[in-house]
Amino acid sequence: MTSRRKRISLIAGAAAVAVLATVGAINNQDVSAVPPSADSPLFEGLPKTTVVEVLENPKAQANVAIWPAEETTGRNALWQGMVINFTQCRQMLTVYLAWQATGVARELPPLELPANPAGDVVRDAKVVDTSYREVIASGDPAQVSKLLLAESGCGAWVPARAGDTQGLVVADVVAKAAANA
Amino acid sequence: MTTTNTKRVVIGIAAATFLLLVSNGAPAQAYAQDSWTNAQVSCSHGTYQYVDSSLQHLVFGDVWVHQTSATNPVTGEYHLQSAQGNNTSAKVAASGQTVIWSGVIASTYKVWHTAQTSVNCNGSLPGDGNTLTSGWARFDF
Repeated sequence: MTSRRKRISLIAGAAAVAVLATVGAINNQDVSAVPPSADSPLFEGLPKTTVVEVLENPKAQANVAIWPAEETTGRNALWQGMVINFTQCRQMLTVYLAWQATGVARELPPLELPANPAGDVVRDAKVVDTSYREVIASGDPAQVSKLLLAESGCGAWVPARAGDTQGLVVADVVAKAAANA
Repeated sequence: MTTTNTKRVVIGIAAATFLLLVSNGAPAQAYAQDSWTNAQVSCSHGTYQYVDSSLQHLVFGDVWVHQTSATNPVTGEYHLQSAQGNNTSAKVAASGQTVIWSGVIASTYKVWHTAQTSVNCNGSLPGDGNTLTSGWARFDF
């Protein structure tokens, strides 16, 4: 093979590799996106310790990881929604345990919302907040436990103790309390 | 309000009430449905796309997802993710099949799709490629 032919072969080979790499990257969807910092304005108005906890929670990270990287608003709304979720889920656990112990239903604390809401996070948080207040108002603690034990509920994955990702989740504690009632 | 208008309102309320009742007298469950047509989804297992446009599921109840078609023989694995990051289990639906989650709590959800197993939708090109799928999701409210 002459050196000219060799050069043409090398260029053609390199071009083919570049094309294949590009097509592969498109097919594999690069979903990497840098998570926000706990000090981001995104989390203003939300409890800082819970923000840090959610940002470090592997399941929370996995929830966001499936979102397309370019959907920043959706990802940010989900981060904010999860912080609200962690806060309210443990508040609901407190309501439930106190109800079981005393027979008296406490009121759920006011919903804490971000100062700079992303997307529909406020609307969506109010849907859940309304359903929580309705089950407390029902006068039946079993209605609260039903929500906290549901597969699609927060109890299935929110740690009962803040930051304890290896320990009990809220649903575990509710199940134990219900069994002992 | 005129007498004619009053009659119309009464008839309208009666008709709406009738539509809300099933034969045993219990109120029929209202639901919202969102259909998607030609949503582009990956043929690789583990690559996710949401296929619906967020529906508000406003009561504790059931959610249905139906896969109508896919241009390649991709069996969909679906799960719901709420706006608070709560998830349902994943359920599998080939084209023509419906999956149902019972006792889903009130929230706003997206329906996420991944291929149950990776399928080559890309011929001799690298990667598994994509397929176009259609279907619907139905939420109680």
